[in-house]
Amino acid sequence: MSKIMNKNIDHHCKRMTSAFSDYLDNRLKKQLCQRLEVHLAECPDCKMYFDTLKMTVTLYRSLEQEPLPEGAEKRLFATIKLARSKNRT
Amino acid sequence: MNEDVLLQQAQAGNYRSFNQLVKIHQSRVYSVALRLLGTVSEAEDVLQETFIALYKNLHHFRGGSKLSTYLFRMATNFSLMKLRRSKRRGHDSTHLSLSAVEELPDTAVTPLESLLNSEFRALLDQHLQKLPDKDRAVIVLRDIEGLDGAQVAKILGLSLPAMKSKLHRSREFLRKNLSVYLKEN
Repeated sequence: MSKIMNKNIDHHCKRMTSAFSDYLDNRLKKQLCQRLEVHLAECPDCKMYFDTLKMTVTLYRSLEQEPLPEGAEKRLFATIKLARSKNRT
Repeated sequence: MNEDVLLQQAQAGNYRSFNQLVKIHQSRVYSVALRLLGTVSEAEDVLQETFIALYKNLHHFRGGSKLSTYLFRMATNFSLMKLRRSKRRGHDSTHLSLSAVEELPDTAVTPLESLLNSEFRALLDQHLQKLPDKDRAVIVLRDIEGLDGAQVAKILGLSLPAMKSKLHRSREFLRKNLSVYLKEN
């Protein structure tokens, strides 16, 4: 895997990399989708490239939200309360 | 309770409804700020600035856009302003990001998931901080928070093609740098 990851994708394939991103987002037209799928079936380098791109995006899409630091909610409500009291005066 | 109802009640001066809206959105606002800024204390500042801005502009908010989109826009703008100011002062926020990530409590379920999650999160945050500010914002809003491309372009003041180009470039950067993790796990 690392061999392919570190390898420079040749010019022909490099032009396809933005199409991979659109493909992941379901933003490619049907005809282009078919062409890309054919290419992926024929080109192991691009297939590996696409699989790792997909895995990366899937993994960071699955990240949970960051928990608030301890006491942050309390401090937030205190700040809002202060803004309200300033607003009243 | 429905968010639109809460918003209307908050606009009519109901503090409890406003606080309810804060509770609903605070974690996502904080997450966006933390991933853009990389430091817990600055992200908390942005969290406060964002909800104070909402409070002050509550009566102007007509609900034409979703409240979450409005909050993301405010949080992103405040974060990018902070980054610009710290760059002008000559600070490099990159070195702060890792220690900030390490401070975070782990919320994953099993020990293995927990390890993978925290390891991956740390690695992702490390590489996110290496991206140019707006590129990072594109990834955070589009891929991590799941906004659609048009919303992200609007929030960041970019054309749709410019947003897409940043998205492709940043995904490729992350793919390249996170591949080692994918291979090991």
